Amino acid sequence: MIFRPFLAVLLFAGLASASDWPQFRGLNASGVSDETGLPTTWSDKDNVKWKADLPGRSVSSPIVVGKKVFVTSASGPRFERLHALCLDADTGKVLWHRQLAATGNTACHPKSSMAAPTPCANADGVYFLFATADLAAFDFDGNLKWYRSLTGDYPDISNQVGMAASPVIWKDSLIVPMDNVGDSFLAAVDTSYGTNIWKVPRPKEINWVTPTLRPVGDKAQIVFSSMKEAIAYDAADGKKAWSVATPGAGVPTAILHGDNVLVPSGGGLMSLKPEGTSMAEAWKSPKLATGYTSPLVYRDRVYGVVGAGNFVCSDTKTGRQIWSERIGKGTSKFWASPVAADGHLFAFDDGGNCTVLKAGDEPKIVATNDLKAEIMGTAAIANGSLYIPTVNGLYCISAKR
Amino acid sequence: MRLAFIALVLTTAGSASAANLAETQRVLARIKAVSKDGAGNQEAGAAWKELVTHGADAIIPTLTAMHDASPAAANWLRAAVNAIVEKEKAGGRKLPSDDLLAFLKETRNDPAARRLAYEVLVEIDPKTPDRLLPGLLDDPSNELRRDAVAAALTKAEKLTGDAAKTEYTRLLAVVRDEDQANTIATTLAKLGAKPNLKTHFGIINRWMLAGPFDGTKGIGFDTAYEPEQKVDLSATYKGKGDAEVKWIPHTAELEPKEEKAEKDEVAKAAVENVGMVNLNKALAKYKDAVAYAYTVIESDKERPAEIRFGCINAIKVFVNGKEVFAREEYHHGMRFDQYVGKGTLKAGKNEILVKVVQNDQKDPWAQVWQFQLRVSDATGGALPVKEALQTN
Repeated sequence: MIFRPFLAVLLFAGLASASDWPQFRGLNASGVSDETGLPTTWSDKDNVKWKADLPGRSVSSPIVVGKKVFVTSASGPRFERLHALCLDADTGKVLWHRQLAATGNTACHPKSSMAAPTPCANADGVYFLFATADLAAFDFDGNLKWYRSLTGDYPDISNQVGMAASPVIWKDSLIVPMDNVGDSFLAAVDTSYGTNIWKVPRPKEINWVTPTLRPVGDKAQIVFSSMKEAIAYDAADGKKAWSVATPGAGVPTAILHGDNVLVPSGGGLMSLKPEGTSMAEAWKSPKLATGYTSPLVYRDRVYGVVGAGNFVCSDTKTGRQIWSERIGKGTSKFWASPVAADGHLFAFDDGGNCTVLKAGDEPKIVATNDLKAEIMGTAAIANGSLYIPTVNGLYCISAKR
Repeated sequence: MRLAFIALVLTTAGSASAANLAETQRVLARIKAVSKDGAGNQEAGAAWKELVTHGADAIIPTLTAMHDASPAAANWLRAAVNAIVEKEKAGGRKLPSDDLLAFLKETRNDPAARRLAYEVLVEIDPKTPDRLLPGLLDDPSNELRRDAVAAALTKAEKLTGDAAKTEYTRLLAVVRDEDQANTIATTLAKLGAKPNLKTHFGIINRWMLAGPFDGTKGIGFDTAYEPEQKVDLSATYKGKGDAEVKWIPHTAELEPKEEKAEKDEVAKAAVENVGMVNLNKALAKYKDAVAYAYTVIESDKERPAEIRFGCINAIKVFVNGKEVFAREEYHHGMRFDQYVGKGTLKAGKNEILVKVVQNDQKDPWAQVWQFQLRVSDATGGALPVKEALQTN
């Protein structure tokens, strides 16, 4: 079953199929898929339908549209070469590969890469944003629709830790988050030709949060949180709709639950409910820490996993903790966000382990699967498969050959 | 009669080729017209698609067009070459390897375009690196130079004794990337040589320093304190807390200290630390503070120069009184050649003034106050200039 807000967002993005995984964490960053028949056990050899090697290093996530998978990577001693690739979803064969030279800053945290933001897609094409603020749009056959050097346009863009927030799509607008200490902004860019529809200034602070689209009638709000507040902008014109002061988290993305918005906040999670034209706190759970990962709502439960690997399950209505389970292995940390499908939760650590848990009110670990490779990006689910990114490759995990 | 027919065919072919080339040039011009905020994208998108249909014949004109293209336009062109090559290969058509080789060998062509030509040649023949890289060690394209050095380093691993020392010394002379330079310098040190990374990279380590000036409430970056208006090494200023500030000489260390040698081992070379000006040590630890560093270099003639530097604090750099770089960002990381300011050195003495601003963050990881600076040519090689600072 697809929740109503997700269906609305599907229409906003102009996509043909709910089975696609068209942006960071799938439909509106939910991290949830309707796919079934997914394997719960695998290794670097078992249940591997294919594996594709990527040039350089990538911490972004794959997206899937139909039978095509889109990934990014960055290579070179300073990540100065940017790669946009399209792979066959069934075979992993590279269908096309386009390269760009970085035109912006390439400095970043040692764990990151210039391929940190995840691409997104609508019915007309795929939109690749890199941490260098290079932004390119291709059609599904690899034809360049348009390209912009945002650092060329706005030379004061600066984030020496490396940017990672991903763009999202509302109707014909590509929503581009560019929070940084220099020319900091949120912009809506025309998906057809890449020109600005609107551009609003943002606080001059670094921030890695991917915006969330919140359907409101036939309109939408862009919910965006930073270290000091959760704020919503009207997707049509960029005007502020509401804001709630809350100590933010700087990395994880807010998600929707019905009409509520769940915002990572001050090391925990806050649920905001509609109140007139604004939002107000419904509940707050300090225990629902999500660290660098984004929260996950699945079957009326909200889950979070922190860096060291404490997996928490809470009630979506109250935030009351139902259970917590330590799933971390050794010194591995959780950077990738958990995803859910087919009754299971999948949580990936940077040591290459994926802990598979059964969704529900008891902490039940089904399996721990080791790909023996560094995992930083969030997995995609489509075509009856898990597409699991490692920093230099992509695994298609499927029970079907 | 037969001769006349051949001549007619050749003339016709030549005309068609010239017409195609002219059309390709028209399409390229539409792509190169892209400008700020996506202006020209609509026309460029249509032109890009058309350019790709021109096939292999469009590869060299597209590479050539990168020469004076903006960085944004160059990326449109790069992606077009990718697409053309993919389609020609998929169609089983021949790519212009001779023309690509000639384009690569002409070092006046755009460095990035030459590297792209090289990549296509490698796709055509995977043995291309073995054939070409030994001749590209001193190439003006840093990407090609890096490939050539990497290949040479792999071969050098098998050398020992004087042969190794000779080869690594040869490679140090051409290397531009700090990771490769560190590898080479460390190996040379282990072989008993004394590699000089300061000289190799043109790192400046002799400075006059003045500070701290009061930057309370974040005013430091935008406030032009007296040294910024005029450098007078004999002047006395009112500094932070009304303390007297004078210019003091400072010589930054050249031996990396962070990389400790294990017993009986040679320290790992780390150019990232050579000539680091640690203001917390040279002045004292201050927050909300501004320091200036001043030096003089002498050039035998007017020449373009790149001022390359790393700094974890907000920084402004001036060459002969002209600002060549400004960035207000604090404690988000520092690395070798992090920033590049471009300027022109005049014949004779040239003044470099650096303003380094420390903010008020209390976090333990936000206490560093330092910079490292060098002067180089466009490839990152040291310029033939002399440090000419008089500290007396």
